[in-house]
Amino acid sequence: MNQSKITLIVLVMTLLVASLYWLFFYLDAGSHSKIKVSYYHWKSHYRPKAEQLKPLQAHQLYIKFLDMGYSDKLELIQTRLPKNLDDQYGKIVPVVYIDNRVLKHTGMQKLLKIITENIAAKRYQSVQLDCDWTLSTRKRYFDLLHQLGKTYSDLSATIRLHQVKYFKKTGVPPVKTGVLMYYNMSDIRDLNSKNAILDLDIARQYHVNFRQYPLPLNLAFPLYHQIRLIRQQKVVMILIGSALNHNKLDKIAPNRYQVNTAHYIQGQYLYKGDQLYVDQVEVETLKEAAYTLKPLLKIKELIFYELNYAKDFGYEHIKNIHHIFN
Amino acid sequence: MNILKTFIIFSISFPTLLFACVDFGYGTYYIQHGYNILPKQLLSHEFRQATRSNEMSFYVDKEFDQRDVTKKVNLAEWGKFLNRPEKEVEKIIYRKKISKNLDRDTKAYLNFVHRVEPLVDFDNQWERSKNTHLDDDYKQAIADAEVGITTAKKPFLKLRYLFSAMRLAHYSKHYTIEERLYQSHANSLQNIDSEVWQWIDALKAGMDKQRGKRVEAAYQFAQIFARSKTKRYSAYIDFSIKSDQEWQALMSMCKDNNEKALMHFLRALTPKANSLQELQTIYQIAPNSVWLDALLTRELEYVQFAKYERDSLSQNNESIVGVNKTMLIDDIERYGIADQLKLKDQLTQRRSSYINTLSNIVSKIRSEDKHKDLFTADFAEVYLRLLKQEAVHIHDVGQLELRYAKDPRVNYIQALKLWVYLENLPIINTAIEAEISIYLKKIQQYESGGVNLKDVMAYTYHKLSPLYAKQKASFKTYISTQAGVFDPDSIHVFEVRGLHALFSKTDRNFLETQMLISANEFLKYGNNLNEIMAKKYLSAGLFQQANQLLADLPKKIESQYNLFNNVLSGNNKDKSKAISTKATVKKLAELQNKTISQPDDANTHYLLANAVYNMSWFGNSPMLTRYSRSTSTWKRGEINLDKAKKHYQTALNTASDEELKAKILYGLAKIEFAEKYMQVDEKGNGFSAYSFEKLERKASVEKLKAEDFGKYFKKLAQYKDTQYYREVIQQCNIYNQSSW
Repeated sequence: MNQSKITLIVLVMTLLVASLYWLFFYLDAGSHSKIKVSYYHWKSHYRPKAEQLKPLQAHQLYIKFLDMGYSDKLELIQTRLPKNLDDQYGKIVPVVYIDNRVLKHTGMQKLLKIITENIAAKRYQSVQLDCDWTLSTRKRYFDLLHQLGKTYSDLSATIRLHQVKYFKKTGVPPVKTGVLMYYNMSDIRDLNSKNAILDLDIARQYHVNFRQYPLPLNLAFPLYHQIRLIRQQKVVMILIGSALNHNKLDKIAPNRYQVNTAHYIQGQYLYKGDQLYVDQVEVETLKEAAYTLKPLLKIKELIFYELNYAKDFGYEHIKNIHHIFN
Repeated sequence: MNILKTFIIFSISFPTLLFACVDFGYGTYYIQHGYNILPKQLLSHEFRQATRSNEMSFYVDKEFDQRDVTKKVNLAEWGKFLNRPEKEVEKIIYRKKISKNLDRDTKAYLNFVHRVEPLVDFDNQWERSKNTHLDDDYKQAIADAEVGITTAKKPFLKLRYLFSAMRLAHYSKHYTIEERLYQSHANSLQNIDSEVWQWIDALKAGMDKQRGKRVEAAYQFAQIFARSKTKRYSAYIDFSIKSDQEWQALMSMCKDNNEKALMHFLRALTPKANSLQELQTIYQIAPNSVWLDALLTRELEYVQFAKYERDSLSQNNESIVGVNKTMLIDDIERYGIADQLKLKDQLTQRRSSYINTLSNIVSKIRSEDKHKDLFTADFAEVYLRLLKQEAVHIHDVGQLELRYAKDPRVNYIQALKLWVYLENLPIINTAIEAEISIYLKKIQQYESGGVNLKDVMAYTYHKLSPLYAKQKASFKTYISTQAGVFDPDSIHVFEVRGLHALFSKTDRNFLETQMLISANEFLKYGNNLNEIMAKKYLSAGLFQQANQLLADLPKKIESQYNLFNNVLSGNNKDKSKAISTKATVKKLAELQNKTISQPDDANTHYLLANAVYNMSWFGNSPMLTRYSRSTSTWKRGEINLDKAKKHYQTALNTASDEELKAKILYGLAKIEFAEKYMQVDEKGNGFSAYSFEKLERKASVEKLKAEDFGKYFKKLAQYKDTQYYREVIQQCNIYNQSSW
């Protein structure tokens, strides 16, 4: 074999390897690009507005359709929805929130009837259930999911961090996909919680069993902020929004204030001595969470909670966080 | 009346000589039992009902129903107007039975009201929304009402026509019409004394609120709250101030400090308010205000309450409710379940800090000469001292009694006095029982004042049970431990004998009479003390004694399933083979005798084993030894299958017949299964881990096998030739799922 032939073969081989490398790289990148961005809507009145929804470029809109609570009786809150709810700004996925007390006190048939009457299977096949089930309600909840799975072909459920870490104990819901809620990770009532929405130190304690979890998981990230109102050593209220009257507050620590002059805010009366703990999600913290989770989770969808906070958080920031997973 | 409850709770933790326990003292017992010793008479007016709300939108209070109060007041006014008894008026007004002998005007008014009712009925809102001519209907109804105002001869009816017209305008949001109606007609009717004015004022306030005059509306609602019984609760809900500007404007509208105190009182009632700060502010601006007593009483009520309604907020806000409620009520529950000392300390500290602040306010009120009527504050002082774990002597309450000797409210502090008396009680004897009886009788006499004798009894039992136990008073210990509730399933034979003795006593004191109430109730339905004891003997395996007690009973006893069966069909509950209880127990006694005379008789042991198994939670006749049972849960200790197992084992060792051996092995297999059930359930997993639904049965049986279940099923395989195997065992849905 002469030199030129060898050179040609080497050249062809090099090109082939390079092509294969490029192809693999492309395919790999392509698979990541399949990660879609979606949003939750959690208010009790859904008024879709193009200027709000269009910039989201949402793949799906997870809209809470039903809120099922229980006091003395079943308390059902149906979200007020427009008559012609279309998928123009993202495919609508109805979500049902169920309180554990509902599961304890309400018959299975009644629950099924309420859900199927409020979410038409002809229109919606993708449905999500949100319930922080416990060991005592697990069976009833899973039975409900099992039954709903017969009506809705694409059933998903929210999963809390502790439910992944201890999945052998807490069980795995019988659904197609789970959505890992990466927020609300500290006890909102605990005065020692640094940030009740997102605390990476707490979160890291739950980075266990992601690979072993038997259900494909997607991820939900927080965008919202809240103010915990502490009165007489108790968290008594959550104020939504962040507008504070700083003239009447003393800063006692980062994101923590004490009322020095009694005043009203957001319709609530703040007494002298009350404390305000501001829980907010910093862009950098959420990015760090994304970098940490990327190698741990193989997700297909990133859902932000919730869409009303997207503008304030910044579409560009959301895009950047999304890109971390791509 | 959960003061007692809290009293109790704290009394346990008193560091005085009598209260050795240094714990917070909270336990589920207190959570489940609410005691109330706060008399309604503590206040000269009644604002208690409206102060109990935890979360307005989920307000539930069975004691206060605005509709009921409104109906009562309305009936009284109509009764006076029609000059007829209340029952008849109720028929006319609420059951729409308009009698012919009413005058034309009244009939016309009532017919009008019934006609327009669908337009103003809250429950009918949904139906109304479907009406496409709704606005026309409202306008016509308003016009008709206005005709009524002018044509009706009696002012009573005119005023009601005015209210109807305004309400129709209000519901249809025709506020201009509503205002015009008031301006045109109200003046001429001012001299009529009626609660209807409050309803009209409430409409006006609502109208102002809808038109954005929020402060004026809040002021009016506050006035209605203060003077109206029928609109008090809705006025409280509608009172709303949302900014500093609104609050300042409201304060400027107040004519005096007493009115300002009222506004603070209303703000203090909101679930998350810092009511102690509001209490101090009220004392500062209007120290002699009735609202000071009202709020102080409300604080005392919170301190004592145990029973409460949970709110139903979203998941994030769950369990975050009012300050005083969470601190004074929910914390009790949390304390009961807290597993960390640190958490317990936190809860104790939070509560004691709250009570100390309240106590300091009370001390200030009592020490200064600004508040005229100190009854509530004086009562609170004694009460709070108990809560603060300070020693309180009966003499302290005695002084309170002396101070208010001429005040009728003094009669309502007996529960507090009894409480203090019980706290200081070292022993119990006949003389002390007599003294307690005097207290209880007085409490019963003034029970209508809000103190519930049942609650007081529950507390009394709680304090007396250790004293009775020390005295070895069998039934009295039992009934006081049971808080007065007689439960034939939990009582022992010796306690039944004590009960019998108390029944026989002719000179029972009041306390003893109370002790017998629940048992009397039970016996009223044809039950019998001998039968109770017989069941105990059956449960203990003392069949001779049971037989003796039942033999003398004249009562016809219901038949049972056959206790000696060990079959599968009908879940071993074949009624055709039933024998009476008397016959069953007689047979049991005979079989037991036979085990002595013929200890090696396999069949006797087999039948006894079946009987003992069938009397258990798993068998066909568990009610033979009980009066009630749960079909879904069982209690450890109530089931002991060892005796059944022993009899089966003896039967197996002595049996020669193959058929009998197959039966015995199947009986033992059933016990093995029951024991597995109990073992799994004890771990808290429930037996649901093994579904025996048709499709999942096989997998569950295999799982059981993998866990070493099936010792006797394996042995049964050797008896495939027996008829019992073919007829019975093969039908067993657990056995036939696998090869053993």
